[in-house]
Amino acid sequence: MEIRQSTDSDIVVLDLLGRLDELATPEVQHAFADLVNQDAARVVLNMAGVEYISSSGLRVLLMLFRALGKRRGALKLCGLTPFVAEVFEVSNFASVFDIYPTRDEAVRAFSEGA
Amino acid sequence: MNPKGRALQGHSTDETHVRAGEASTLILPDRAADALEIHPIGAIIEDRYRVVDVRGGKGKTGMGIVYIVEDGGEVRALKTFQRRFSKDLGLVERFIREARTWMLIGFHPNIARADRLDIIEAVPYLFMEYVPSDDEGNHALSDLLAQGPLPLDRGLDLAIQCCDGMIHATSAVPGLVDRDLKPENLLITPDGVLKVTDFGLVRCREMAADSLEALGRPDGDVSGEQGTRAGAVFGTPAYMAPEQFTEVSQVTMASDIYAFGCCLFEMLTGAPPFEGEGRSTMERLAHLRRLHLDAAPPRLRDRLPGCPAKLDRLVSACLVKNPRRRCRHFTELRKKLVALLEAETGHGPRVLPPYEPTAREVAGQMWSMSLLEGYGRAIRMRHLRESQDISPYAFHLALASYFHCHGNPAEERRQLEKAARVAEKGGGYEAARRLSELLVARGDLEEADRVLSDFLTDHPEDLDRVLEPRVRLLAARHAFDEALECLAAFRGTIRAQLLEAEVLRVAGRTGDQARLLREMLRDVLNSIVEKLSMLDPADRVGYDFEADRDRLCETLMALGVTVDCSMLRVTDEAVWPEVAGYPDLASELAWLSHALGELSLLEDAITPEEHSQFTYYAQLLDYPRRLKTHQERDEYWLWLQEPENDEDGDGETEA
Repeated sequence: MEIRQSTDSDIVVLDLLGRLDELATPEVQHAFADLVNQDAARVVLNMAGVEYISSSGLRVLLMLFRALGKRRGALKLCGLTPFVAEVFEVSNFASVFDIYPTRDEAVRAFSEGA
Repeated sequence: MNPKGRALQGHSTDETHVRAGEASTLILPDRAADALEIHPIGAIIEDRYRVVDVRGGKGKTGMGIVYIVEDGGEVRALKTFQRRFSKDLGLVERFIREARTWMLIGFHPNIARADRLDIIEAVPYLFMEYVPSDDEGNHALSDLLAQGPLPLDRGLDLAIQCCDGMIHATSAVPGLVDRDLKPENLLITPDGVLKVTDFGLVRCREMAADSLEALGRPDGDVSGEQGTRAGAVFGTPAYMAPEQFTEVSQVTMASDIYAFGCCLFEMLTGAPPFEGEGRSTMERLAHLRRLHLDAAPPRLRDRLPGCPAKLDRLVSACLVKNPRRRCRHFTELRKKLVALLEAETGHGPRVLPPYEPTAREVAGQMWSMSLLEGYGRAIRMRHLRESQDISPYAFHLALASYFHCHGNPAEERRQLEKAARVAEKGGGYEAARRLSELLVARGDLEEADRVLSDFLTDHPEDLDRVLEPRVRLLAARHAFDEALECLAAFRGTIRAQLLEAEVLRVAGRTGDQARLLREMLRDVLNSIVEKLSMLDPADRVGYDFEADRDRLCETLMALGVTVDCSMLRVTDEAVWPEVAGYPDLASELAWLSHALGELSLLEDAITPEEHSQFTYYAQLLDYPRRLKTHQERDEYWLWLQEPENDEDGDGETEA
């Protein structure tokens, strides 16, 4: 799993590339922990490069969502591929997360206060 | 006991299978309370899963049972335990840990697949893939070894597959230690695919680092000794590393490597490196312990003359006493085993296609972790209240409350349906009321109608038990006259007034609604004044927050009520305004808040001054949450008292 980090004003954007499966989860979990320890508050996860997500992957997204929530931060997801979108739909995660079609729309939603 | 009589009581004589007809006759007469609860072959679990075989239930496994069931043409293995063991918190938490580990491991061709968990009659069932036996009835490595050692190429093939499974498991769950790797737990499909199964004794530091914050904490517990008693010895002695007998804190993946070495030795020679001798089980165990701790392990080459020297050295490297000097990684072992296989056979290891789960299977694992968290909390609550022998009906209602509080209506509904299913004949009021209320609230009117009709057919005299959902259903269907007719028998009560106001609102009769609410407001105020006037200085009146008393006084004053509130004071224990001896005050404050709030919404029926006044004071009294919280507090307060941060390290996965 490749993780690319960039910033757009005070918004941290993470581009995830590869399979977010059991094997990638520990690495992603540590990357997210670093993010939280750096006091990032507004985070966009671009999932356009994630063709597969496992239950551990979902779990680690939920951990980031909660950790940011505790700090009055927020997480927005974007670019869900068909399999990932289906997993979100079936698991009811689609109603838990703020999901946007594209990276730009997710970033714009932060700037517009959504 | 299942009221519908599906689950018969009985027990097996050992880990052998329970056969139809045996099960219902073997209750020990002097220990009826301990009677084992095992579904016999042919039973249908939860109206769906037909039991075709049963494994375990007594003997060495103690609490473990595996049902082989048919589910719509598919054969599954359901791992569970007898309900009576749910009182043993340690065992239950071990089961929860095992189930979570399995979910976190995900999917791999060399790991027996566990894709879902469900709670049936208050007991968790782990749904696993069924590994069928071959033509000779073998389905585990132990079955094959009972017939003698394996040929070298077959042994190497299976050893490599075992490494593949363990490499995946330890990569997916950092720090995972199986602690019970043995031939019995290595299943073999008829095609020769090995699947690691049973994580019943698993330890993993991942469980401790269950939040991103914990992961970053330098003092985060990574010992992995979660949920196991300090100093307790776990494992199967013939395959246990020396440190498993003596220093539980030193048990690491190297201990699994030692067990793997024992298995490999047994695969190739037909017997494990050490076998205990003695007249009794205890003597044999003590002997085995001494051998693992002190005796030099036998060399493979002595038992298997002519075996490759590298294989002899590899097995010896696995069986080193000191875990720090032992081979420590399955990847390293696999590499050497592959080289040996290639040298022996001229071909590489078998390549298995990766298992590609469906979106539903992935979601099922995630959903199962959420269910496990709820189950874990419910069982701990029950443990705290052990004096109350909670029935499966009450347990599923409690789980429904848990998911209600955690905003998961889909699971709340499932748990209510399960409660309704196990309700005793003549009971089930609570499940019927809450299920139909949930269905009405979610707009599933057809299903709500079915639940209510079934209930009222069985209990024609008990409309009062389901009055709210019945009236709301009729109002949602615009059957207003019928809804008001339902309320006729309850006229004059606040309950009926609240419901009538709801019906009038849905019907658009705002003038009538305002009149009714004004009447209700007057009645509630009169009642509050009466109760406060009866207060005695000796009464204990509690508030959660000091400001609550001021809010009440200010509201009453603004509504033109002169009353002395000075005797209302804060107490440490109270969670809500309560008057000792006059508990209705809490209800009336909730109704006051509600009446003010509802009136404030009827701008056409009140003056602008009233609108601003009612709006302000309704919000001051926490409209619309106060009535809801008041009505739900008995049902849900246990869950609402749960700390936001889960400090037990055992759960966090709520969707």
